[in-house]
Amino acid sequence: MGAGTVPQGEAARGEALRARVEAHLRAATGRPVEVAGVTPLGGGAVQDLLRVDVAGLDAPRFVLRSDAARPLPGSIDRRRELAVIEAARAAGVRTPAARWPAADLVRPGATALFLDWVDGEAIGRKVVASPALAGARTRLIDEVAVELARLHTITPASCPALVAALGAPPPDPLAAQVRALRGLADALRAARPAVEVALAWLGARPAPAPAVLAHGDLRTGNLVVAPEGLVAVLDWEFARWSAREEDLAWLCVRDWRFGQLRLAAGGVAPREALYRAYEAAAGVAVDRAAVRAWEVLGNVRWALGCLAQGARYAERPDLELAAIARRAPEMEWEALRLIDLAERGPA
Amino acid sequence: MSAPDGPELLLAVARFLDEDARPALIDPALADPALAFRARVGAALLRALAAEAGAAEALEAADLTRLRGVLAALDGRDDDLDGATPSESERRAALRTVERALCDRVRAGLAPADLTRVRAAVAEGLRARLAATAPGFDLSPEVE
Repeated sequence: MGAGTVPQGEAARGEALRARVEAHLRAATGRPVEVAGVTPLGGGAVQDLLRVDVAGLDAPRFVLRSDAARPLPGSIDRRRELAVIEAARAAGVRTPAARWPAADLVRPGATALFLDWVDGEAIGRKVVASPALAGARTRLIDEVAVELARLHTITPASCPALVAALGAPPPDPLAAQVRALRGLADALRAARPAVEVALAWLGARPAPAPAVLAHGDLRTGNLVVAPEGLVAVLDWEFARWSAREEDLAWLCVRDWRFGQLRLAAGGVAPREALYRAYEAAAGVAVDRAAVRAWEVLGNVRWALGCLAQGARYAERPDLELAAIARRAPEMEWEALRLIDLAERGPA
Repeated sequence: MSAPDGPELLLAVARFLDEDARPALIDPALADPALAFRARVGAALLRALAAEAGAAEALEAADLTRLRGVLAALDGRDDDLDGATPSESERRAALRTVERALCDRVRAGLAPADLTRVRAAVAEGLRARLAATAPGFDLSPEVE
């Protein structure tokens, strides 16, 4: 098969999808929309992500994001994601608008959303290193802190509709996550002493906290950055009621620093810069020790995430899935290192 | 746990070279940045496997001794190592058994001092493994 040729079955499926998308957009908007193309986007590790080029709407392209065939544990579906995105935007968070939900559009049984297209860089290792983004990096953490502070104004009391979508908030969000990760370790049949030790250490630290709407996956890699600064926050599939420290800690997890180890806040700023910017924006003191505990949990979560990717290798023998499973010991080491630091004294 | 093992990883890289990289070497129009990234992933995997091939036996033997010692200490007894040198498959199976037993003990609940002892032993094993297989990974306690 030469470059540019497409198997006929694939071409027919592509045309059928294009026609379905066009019909849906016409029905949803009441406008004579023409869809020029529906093409896969890279980077959709979990959800199906497609680019939709259109004529007849206010913008020439959109992202079409569909439920995954096999969602990851803890992720929400697109219907609930729509409710989260609308609440976040109402609170002033910069994230692309989601529109025109559609059942069975990309796959039977899957709901899809159309997201506004945003231009910028989202690849983490480029965000932390690209010379073109050097100016943006100097203020990126301040901007992210503002977005988080806006997001964390959303509470179960302020947004009862989200309680219906996401469920009731756990009284101790850290303990809830420890239980969830033990369940994930069991499901993976992962006898990992480091994971058990870290979860036992966390389990011995009751941490009741007022619930806020947490992004759940806010890291370098889910931020769109342009030379002018932060453009948008992406990917709400792990949104949940949690402690505000969970989002601050996840942004600091070592693997999202892309080699800039001393710049704990996403590989672009020292962690204290993040804490101070968040305190200034939110008017709330950051509990440093709580962030440390959530960062231990974040490393366990990502260690198990790596192992879960490896478990998928049996079904889809992909080089990256195989490689990522081998990285679990890095996260396990980091979790135990952070526990040592916490045991030695104040964070 | 079904993380792909060494032979599976070698086959994954072989498959990548044969099915993805080779066609792009013949027809440059098939090359793209994603393919180049996967080539980098494959090269890193091979380097890690090469490092591990020389170290695996010593790492597993040390892990087995260390973790058996910790388990014995939790029970207040001496380690009952029989002194025989097990085969590679026996050693690996024994290590999986000890890891599972240790996980069960930790999950069931340990006194803080015991948990600290287990943590130190597990961290020592991770340190040795990462030093051998991930030479670029910074193991200093104060990386930040």
